[in-house]
Amino acid sequence: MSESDLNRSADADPTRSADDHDPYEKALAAWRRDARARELPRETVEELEAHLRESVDALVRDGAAARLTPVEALGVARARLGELDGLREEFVAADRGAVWRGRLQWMVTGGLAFAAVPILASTAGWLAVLVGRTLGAGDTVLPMLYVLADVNVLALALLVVVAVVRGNAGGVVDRLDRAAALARRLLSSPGGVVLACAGLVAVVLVQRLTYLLALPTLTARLDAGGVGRLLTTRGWIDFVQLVAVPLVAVALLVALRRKDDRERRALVAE
Amino acid sequence: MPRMTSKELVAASARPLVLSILARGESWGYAILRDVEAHSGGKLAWSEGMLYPVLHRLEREGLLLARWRTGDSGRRRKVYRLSAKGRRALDSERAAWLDVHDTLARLWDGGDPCPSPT
Repeated sequence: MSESDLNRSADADPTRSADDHDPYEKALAAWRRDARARELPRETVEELEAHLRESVDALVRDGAAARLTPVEALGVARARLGELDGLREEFVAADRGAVWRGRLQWMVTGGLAFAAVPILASTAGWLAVLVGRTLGAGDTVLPMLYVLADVNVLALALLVVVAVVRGNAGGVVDRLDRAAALARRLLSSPGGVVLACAGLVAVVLVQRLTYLLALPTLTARLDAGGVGRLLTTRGWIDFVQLVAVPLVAVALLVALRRKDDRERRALVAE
Repeated sequence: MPRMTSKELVAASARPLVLSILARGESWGYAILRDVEAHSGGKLAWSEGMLYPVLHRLEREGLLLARWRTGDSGRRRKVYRLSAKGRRALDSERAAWLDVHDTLARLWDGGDPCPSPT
């Protein structure tokens, strides 16, 4: 393709619109959801969507005499691109490991989020106790405050899950999808995993600190935070969970990355 | 109605075609398809979606390097270019396809067999 062609196809995009109610954008969003539902990687869906948009531009421009609307042109562009099921098969055949790499990354992301939510909920609980105590709440009210705050954070997490399951209300799925993509990009490098684990440890430390501050007396604080607690079975289970889960995550992702890195180094060496 | 090349042949030629087009400079999926269309006079009918798995496979094999680029319109595109390894792969593809072409050409022209190399 010549330079002038390149410039022409880089012209302003007449069909893109920020309006969510635009039928063309809606149809594209539906296609995107279908594609994502077939486990096509986000980057691939983005690439194919760029292809569809460019095809639609060309069809509307060249088919001006036929008065093709963008939505009609999208139908043609989709037909030329091919059925999503067939596309998925071609992509899977081209890279057998990709589907499982994607699933594993989701599992690790989910695992870390799953580990973080109860800790965050507990932090909220102890924070409520701390505030309650400062305001002079009695011993009967404090446990209630804890449960209230703790349950609220869990409920919030549950609401997020429900919102995802119920559909794309207010574009929440797209937004969560973007957040998940960010998390996955972070978790696809060993450094990112270490960062995520450090974040998890920081969350735990904040939770412990809030808990200790919420305890009424110095003796109780020393008791709860002291060496004695680590020596109980429960203490060890907590410790192993805290260290082992991130370690397994790091090991898995490093193993996944190693092959890619080797290939990249071979490429740079050329 | 243009003459259509068989599915199998199109699939087999996708690799050298993509490498040859990218040897002329970096490009992206849509532009590569239009390039194939232009250079084959519409005789090579590609199911458009078929190109992308090929691009991804070549990228994974290290023959292509890809990056996302934002055009003047603010639209993002995944742009591919040939790596050094890709250039070498194109050279060997080219030799293999020329061998096939030469052999067929000799047979169809009714010419003599190749003098055996000494």
